[in-house]
Amino acid sequence: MAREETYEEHLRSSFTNLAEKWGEDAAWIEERVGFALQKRYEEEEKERKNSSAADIVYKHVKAVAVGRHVHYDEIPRRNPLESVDDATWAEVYSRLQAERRERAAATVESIWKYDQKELLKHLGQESTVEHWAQVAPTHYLSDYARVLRRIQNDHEHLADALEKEMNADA
Amino acid sequence: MLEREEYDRINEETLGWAKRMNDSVRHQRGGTTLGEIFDGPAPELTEEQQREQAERWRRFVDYWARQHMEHVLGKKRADGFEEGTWVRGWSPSGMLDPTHVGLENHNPERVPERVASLAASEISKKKLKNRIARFREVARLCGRLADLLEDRQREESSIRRIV
Repeated sequence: MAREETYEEHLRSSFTNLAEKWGEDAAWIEERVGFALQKRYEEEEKERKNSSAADIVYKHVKAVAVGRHVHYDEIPRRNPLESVDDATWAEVYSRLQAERRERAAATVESIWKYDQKELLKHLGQESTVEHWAQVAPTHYLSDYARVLRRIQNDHEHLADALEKEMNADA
Repeated sequence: MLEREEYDRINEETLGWAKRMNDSVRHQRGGTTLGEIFDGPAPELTEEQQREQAERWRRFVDYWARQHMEHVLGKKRADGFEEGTWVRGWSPSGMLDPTHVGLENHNPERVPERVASLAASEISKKKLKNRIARFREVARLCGRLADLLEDRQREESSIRRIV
């Protein structure tokens, strides 16, 4: 497996490309690389002083889960890291699960809001529904009916699932 | 900086002058001012003209309804039917269907059952009931429009073509 490029190497190659393009010399590259490394060091120091180990691990693990490179189910319950203890990992894990539940709740909320803003605004008016049914172009009737059935099924599916969970909790 | 009184005086006088100039120039050219049109009586329309006006308005409303339906439900492209905004991207169906080609493709967190099991503990029972009621209402309304469209399709397909 090829060795991963370090941050400094990445900076050096990027600024070398720019220097070639803009006609700058080696001193310019060194100055820019030095400035960027110093900036990063300062940011890391700031984070180091203001965060716990759990904060830093949580930030990196959450980034891969939210970016969907790793599913939440694939994040192990047992500590996979050597640099942090099990208690820290347990905290990270429970924060991730809480965040996961919050994201799911936010999905339900955004669907609820979208329905009010978009679908109910139009379909909530009886006159609009009848008007649309009358003026829809004939060659679109089957496609529109199919799309609407799909939306109907998706909503029923979600409502059923929520109801099941609500009754299970009770 | 102008004083308020001076500002009002200049404004009033200049606007009055501009209006008079505008009206006089229009009259010299044989035109009618907008003020005269608005102040005058409504034009007498014959029955035929009234019918035409109503028909024009009806076509305008129908046109915009069709345009909106194309936007939200879908339209035909060269490579087939493209679904509208109510099922794509961040819409409820786009969010909940992991097989749909979109931003949320293949995300197990977005399957309705999974969303429900995770979200149920975060949302209060009262809110949850409210959400469920709205989802059912949207489903009912979509179903109603789909029924009407299917009825119309059945009706139109049964009409015999006159050759």
